This record gives sequence, structure tokens and C-alpha cells, in this order.
Amino acid sequence: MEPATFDPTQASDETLMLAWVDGEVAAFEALYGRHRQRLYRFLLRQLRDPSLADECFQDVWQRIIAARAGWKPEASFATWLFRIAHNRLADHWRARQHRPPAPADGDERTARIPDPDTPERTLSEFEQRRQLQLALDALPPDQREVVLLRLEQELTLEEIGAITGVGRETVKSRLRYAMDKLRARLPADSACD
Amino acid sequence: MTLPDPSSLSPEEQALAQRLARLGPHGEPSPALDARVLAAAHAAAQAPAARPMVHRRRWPAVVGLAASLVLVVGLAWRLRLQPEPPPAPRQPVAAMRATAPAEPPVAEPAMAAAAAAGPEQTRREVGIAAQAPAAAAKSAPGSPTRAPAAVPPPDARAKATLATPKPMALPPPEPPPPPPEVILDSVQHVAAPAPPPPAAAAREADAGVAAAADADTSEAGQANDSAGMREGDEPSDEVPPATAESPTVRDAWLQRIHGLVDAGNIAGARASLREFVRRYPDYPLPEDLRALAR
Repeated sequence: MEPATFDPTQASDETLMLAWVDGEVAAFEALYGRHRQRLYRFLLRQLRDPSLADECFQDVWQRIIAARAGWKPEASFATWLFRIAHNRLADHWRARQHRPPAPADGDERTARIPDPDTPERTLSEFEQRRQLQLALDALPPDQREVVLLRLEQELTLEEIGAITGVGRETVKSRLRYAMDKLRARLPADSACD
Repeated sequence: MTLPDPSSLSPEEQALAQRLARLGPHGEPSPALDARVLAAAHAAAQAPAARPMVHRRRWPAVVGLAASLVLVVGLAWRLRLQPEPPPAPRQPVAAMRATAPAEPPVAEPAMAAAAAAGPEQTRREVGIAAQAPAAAAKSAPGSPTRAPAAVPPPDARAKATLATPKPMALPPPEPPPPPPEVILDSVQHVAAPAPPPPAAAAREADAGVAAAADADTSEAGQANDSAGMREGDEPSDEVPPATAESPTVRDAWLQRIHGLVDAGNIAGARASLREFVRRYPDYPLPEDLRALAR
């Protein structure tokens, strides 16, 4: 195998993808390392089930691997990645015909896990997490997806529009509505003060 | 886009993003999950990259080939079924012969011959000779092609004429030569159904002869060859010259009249002369015949 002619730490996502198209496994490993956590958290936030998140996560990367022969740098890699994730989630919801309700005691069970932190801190974090989760659950799915892509993935409105298949103004409108609802439901973050 | 730029978020968005990041979920792919994904990538890198199938449209080529085959088969079929061109229509021999120059001009000399010859001979000769112009006159003046349908070939006519030798001996007194229409009726190949009046018959014969003469003029050479009569042929005394208006015809007629007078057939000579005068009123008669015409 020929030595990589690119620097994985400095190359852009598109350069790494082109190298991966040419058969450079190191380029793919670099891409995977950059986006694995973001993608997984995004899926986990949407599915709220680790097992489902693992399944969708692996499916998304399988599609990335299979599509390398026909990949063209028409859009950013991140947009392409999350578009595949969005479509995979849509397939999941279509197959399920409904969005699984949030487990009633899921957060509580997570909170019972022994934590080295202090009890007060654990309860506070649990409560804050619960409030945030409830606030996100209260959002419509399209607004929730937009706010998560924006806040957690830090994607631009155009990229979010490319992923979800809507225009920039629609994304902007959904994000504004989502932020207003979260602001209304979430108390001020005392930890940030 | 490489790494997300935190500065792209507004302050409010950054605050909420930090809250989300801090409060979780903090999940990450498990090492096993990472291993499975990377293993799939290595396996794909080992296998040659499957190029996306370019669905070339083949149907246009197939349709074009099919159309070409249909065209070729259709052309071959039509050529196979195409009927042979009909043969060139044969002109009736009679029609071709009718355009011969020898056919039309039989009217007057034939009458002259009839006047000079015997009844049967005259009847035969004149009838055969006159049937061409008479038929032409009957059918359509000026359309000689239709008239001569029943005209016997000139050879036959000549044979018919020659078959009956015409002795110049003194025949017994006989009635004046019958008008052309009567002679025509007795002829086998006459096409005219009803005999016209003598004057009319004579005029019709003239018209027919003139029309035939015109036809002959228009188809000179070609008709002559086909009819068998040559322009250079020497017409005998029994064969009239080309046209009725030819001086030769009148001279021959007058000669016949003289022959009748010499033979003692004054009545016949007078009748023939009378007919001659009627036909050619402006023609100056010889002095010896003027008394006979009175």
C-alpha cells in the first residue's frame, strides 16, 4: 500500500473522503475519529435507546463505506453524513410507525448507577438532565432535530437544510421556535452563572 | 467543513449547547462498535471499489436496429411483390397501317378505278380502297387512328386489286358506277353502317382522305415503314395516288372517262364525267369531254 500522501490531522473532510475513495483506509479512520461521537450522540438523542443508537450508528457508517465509489464532493462531508443519519432515522420511524415514548424511569435508572460524584451533584444533574430531556421531548420532531443539529453538531442552517431536505428559512424558523420553547421550559442554568 | 466552529453559534445557542454537552447524554460508541465499523472499512478497501453502474440507455440502439430491420424487410417484400411493368401496348396493326400513307389515298383513284373497271372488280377495289377514308370519315374526321381499324393491309389490298385482273376490253354497257357508299356496303371490311348520300359520301371520303393525309404527314416515315408502303413506290394504274386532290387522280379519272368513250360506253362515260364535274366543278374539262358533259 502506498503511503498516505495527506496529513490526516490537517486535511479537510473532503480531502480525507477523496483519499478514502482511492482506497486509503487511514483517511477513513481519520474521518471516523472526527465524527463518531457527534453522530452517536445525535442518534442517541433522537432514539433515546443505546441499542437502537448502536444499530443506526453502524448502519450509517456502512452506507458511508458502500457509497465511497460514487461519492462526489458536492456537499460537505458532515452534511452528507448527517443526511444519511437523517434518512436512517426516517426509515426507523417509518418502520416503527411511531416514535417510542420516552422511558418513564429511564433517567431515574441512569441516575441510580453508582456515581463517584456527590449525591447532591448527582441529583442536580439528574434533575437538570430530566428537565432538558422533557423540554426536548416537548418539541416537535422537526424542531428537535434542528436544534440538536445546531447545538450539538454546530452545523450551519444551510447544512441543516441539506440534511433535512428543507430550505434555510424553514430551518431558521424551526430553530427559532425550538429555542423559544426551550428557553421557556428550562430554568436558568445555575451552573453557568 | 472540517471542524465545527463554535463561534458560529450565538451566545444563547452556545450557552444551551454547553448545557446539553454537560448534561448529556455522554454516550459514545463502544469499542466493539468502533471495531466493527473499522473492520468493514478495511474489508471494503481490500475489495475493488464497485463503480456505479451507468445505465446506458440501450433502448435507442435496439429500437434503431429493429427499425432498420423492418425497413429492409419491407423494401424486400415490396420489391418481391412489385408486379412487372406491363408490356408496351401493342398498337393495332390496322391502326399502324392506317397511318400509312398508302391507305388514305385510295379514295379517288379507287373511284376512278371503279369507274373504269368492271362492276365486281370495281366494287372490290373501290370498296377496299375507300374503306380507309370512309371509315375515318364515319368514325371521326381527323382521327385516322380510329378509322382504319378495319382497313386491310395494303398488301392485301394490292393483292385484292391484283387478284382480279382488270382487262381493258370493252365491257358491255353497264349502269353508271355506283356511288361510293354502295360500293362500301358491299365490301366486307367496311366500317360504316349506313351509306351516306352520294354527295355526302364523296365529301366524307374527301375529308377522310384529307384527314388521313394529315395523319400521314404527322407520322411520315414511321407510318410508311410500318404500313409497308414506301413513298418511292411506283403506284400502278389501279392504285390511286396519295391524295384525291392530286392532279394525277383527276388525270387518271379523265383517262378512264376517255377509255369508256373509246369503248363505246357513252352512258358510262357521261355518268362518270358527271360525277367528275360534281367532284371537281372548277376543273377545266378537256374539249372532247365538254360536249359529253352537257
